[in-house]
Amino acid sequence: MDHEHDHEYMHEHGIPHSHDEHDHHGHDAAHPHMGGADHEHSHDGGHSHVHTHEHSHEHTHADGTTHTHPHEHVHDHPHGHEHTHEHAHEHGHDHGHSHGCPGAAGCNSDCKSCDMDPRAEVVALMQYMVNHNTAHANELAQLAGRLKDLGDATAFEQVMQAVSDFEKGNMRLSTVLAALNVPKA
Amino acid sequence: MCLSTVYKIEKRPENEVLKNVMLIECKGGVVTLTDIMGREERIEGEIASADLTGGTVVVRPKAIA
Repeated sequence: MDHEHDHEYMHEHGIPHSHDEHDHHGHDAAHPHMGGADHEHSHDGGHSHVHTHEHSHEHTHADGTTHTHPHEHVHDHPHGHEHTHEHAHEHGHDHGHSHGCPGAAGCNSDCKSCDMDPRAEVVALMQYMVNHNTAHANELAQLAGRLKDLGDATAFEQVMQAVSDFEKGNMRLSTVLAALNVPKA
Repeated sequence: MCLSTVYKIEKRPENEVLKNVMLIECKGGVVTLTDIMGREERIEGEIASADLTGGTVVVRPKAIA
């Protein structure tokens, strides 16, 4: 396939993009705990300074499901780690979810004990989608090239116009994503 | 190509294990799922089906003795 045609066409629109391989999963988001299974965290102790630590828990259900939950806790307490983690796994692994927390599949948390940052997950998904759209735009451009090779210049032009529109939309998403990634004061 | 939602036994809301799954590894009879936020779920069993256009994967857990 002659990719040169695709590239030249796409560049006419002045939309910067790469034709290199794209990292579909690249994101810099933190991986805070979401409390996927039914476990509780209670945090006790006096609080006088901010302390952050990360750790993970692994536990296995009777049905063979094993979870690992990366945690990122930010505590405001004077010394040590006086919190306890109670993991209750006597249930049948109910993944019901009704409180609207984004991406919280497998979460039975009551939210009060959940340290998940929903914004971080939305940003991570947005980043994924922008990268994914870029990959799809390139794939569509390659399909257009195949149409051209098959002698259908009209379809080639139409698909490439659609690719251009698609990339413009993705650029808008990129702009929103950039704004979302700016730390709030 | 796209993120998937993984279910146990069959595709039903109550069987959802993890969504936004970006990586599935099968090793030693264990299916390890990783979502876009790095959360992991491990299920003893095997992949029963993977609908890659629908973004749906069904895992058949190993029968519990």
